[in-house]
Amino acid sequence: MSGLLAGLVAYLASFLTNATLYVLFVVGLNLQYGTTGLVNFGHVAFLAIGAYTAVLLGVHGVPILFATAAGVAVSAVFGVLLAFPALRLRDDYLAIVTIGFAEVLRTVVNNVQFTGGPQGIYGYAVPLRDLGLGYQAWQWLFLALVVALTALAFALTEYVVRSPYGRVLKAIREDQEVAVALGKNIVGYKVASFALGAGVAGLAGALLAYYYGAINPHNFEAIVTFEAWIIMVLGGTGRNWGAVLGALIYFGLYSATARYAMSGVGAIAADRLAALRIVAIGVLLVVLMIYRPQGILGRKEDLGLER
Amino acid sequence: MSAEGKESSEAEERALLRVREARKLFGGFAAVDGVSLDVREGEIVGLIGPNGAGKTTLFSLITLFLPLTSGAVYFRGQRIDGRPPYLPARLGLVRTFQITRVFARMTVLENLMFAAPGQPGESLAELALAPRRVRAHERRVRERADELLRYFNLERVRDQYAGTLSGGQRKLLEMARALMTEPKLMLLDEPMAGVNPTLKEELLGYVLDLRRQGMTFLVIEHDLDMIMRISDRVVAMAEGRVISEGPPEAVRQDPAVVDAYLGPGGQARAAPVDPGPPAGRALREEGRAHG
Repeated sequence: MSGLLAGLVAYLASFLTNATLYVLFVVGLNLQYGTTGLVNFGHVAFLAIGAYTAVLLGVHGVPILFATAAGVAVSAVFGVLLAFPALRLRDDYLAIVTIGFAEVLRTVVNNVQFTGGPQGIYGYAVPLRDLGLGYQAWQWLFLALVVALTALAFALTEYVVRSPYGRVLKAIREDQEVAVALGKNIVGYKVASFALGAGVAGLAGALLAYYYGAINPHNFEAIVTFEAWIIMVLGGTGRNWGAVLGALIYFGLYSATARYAMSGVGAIAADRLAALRIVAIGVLLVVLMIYRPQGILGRKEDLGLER
Repeated sequence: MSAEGKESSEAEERALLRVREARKLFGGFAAVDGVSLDVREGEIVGLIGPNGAGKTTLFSLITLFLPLTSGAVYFRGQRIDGRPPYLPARLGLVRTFQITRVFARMTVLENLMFAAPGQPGESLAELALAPRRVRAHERRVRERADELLRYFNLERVRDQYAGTLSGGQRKLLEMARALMTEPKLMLLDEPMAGVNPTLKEELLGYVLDLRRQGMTFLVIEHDLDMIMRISDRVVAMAEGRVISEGPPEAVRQDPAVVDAYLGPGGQARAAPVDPGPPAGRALREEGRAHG
């Protein structure tokens, strides 16, 4: 009985850590798309860049704090680079460029030596792990760290979005020509928005790498980007609290269809179960789109008012 | 540019806006074909002409939305063509659009506050290092926005999304938003298009009142009666060129203008006695087709 309880507690820690990491990841996407209107279908690339940068630097002896900061910075720099097409391209083409970038990056990571190729990297140092705590205590401590950093990123982006700076980002989303006609030089804002969102994703990537304890290219497939989009749309685009709610619901559903939870249903093979998960999430999305198309925390007006 | 300065007469010096031989080619087609015009401080200048005359293109050239093929644009004595498109508004030259373009998913108040110039809170460094200065400035911007909301009777919709406003309210919001930039010259692109008679009078009242306060206007308008009532001077365009310029009545009766609207045959039919009304009717019909 106590074994079952311990298992549940451990499971809860892992559930919350995963969900919180996705909240952080989505906060970055929300700044880019929800606030500024830049369609980024390659968000997972920034997660990967943050993860690989932090881990590789850590492996080469850079202290974890600096390695993590570098993961954020390098992601942000790639955000700047990818923002340049964003200055010229229409939404649909930007979507193609970003998704292409993420796939190219993953293929490169899969095929070069220094990233460990398809085997990836494992056995690297992880924050708070050398305190002599057991794995479970570490899990909770690490969760606290993830929650704290996510709360910080959340609060900072909220501050920016509600400031005059955020007003410019929103105006770019609504009608960038008019924003220019009213005297704003929007170039820097678009680049900064993309870079900040990428940096936040980079932080999520570094933390994800520490949490997994091993990374490989499979962790960074396109589906991760779309999970982030699902969470964002579920919660309500442009609302950061929506990301929290969306992540909890998404992972709640994911867990509810997990092997342990479904064991009572009968002998379902693992691969079928995986397929069933996707079905369940699809059904959830369809239901949501019917009854609450603006997302759970979205404002109804948001929909009718898109140009 | 210095040579140009020497040549310019005193009248030109007083001109707020000077356009010289502006030309815009789209492929081989000259949408604007050598247009020169001046707008002096405190004036209301009407810009008329049939569809396709190049009026809106000229607006886009003046506001640097489109690059000139050749020619020059001076605003307050400074040559601005070739400069970035956000510059005109910062110098005091702002435009509104033929079809209103409000920021739909921002509140009416946000629409206005956005347009205020020189906001420290638009810089991340200031946000991080001088939050008190940002807040103080934000308060002043909000006060100014509230003032304009009162002036334009939009207080009731202050916190609504701009996308929920009626067509008339959008026109007012767009004008208020343009005023937030603290302009010297406003370019209004068909402010009366698709507007009911009551609101037309209201808009007219605002334009005249703002002029009394020192504002200068260049107005594209299809409603000829309206343009005759508000303009000090009218410039008529057709096929990318200025075909007539002067006091409203003179321009209205200029055979070249009547020709442009009705075709050469139209003049024979309508002209000798009173070319005004038929032209006016043609304009109104066109305006509807446009809207």
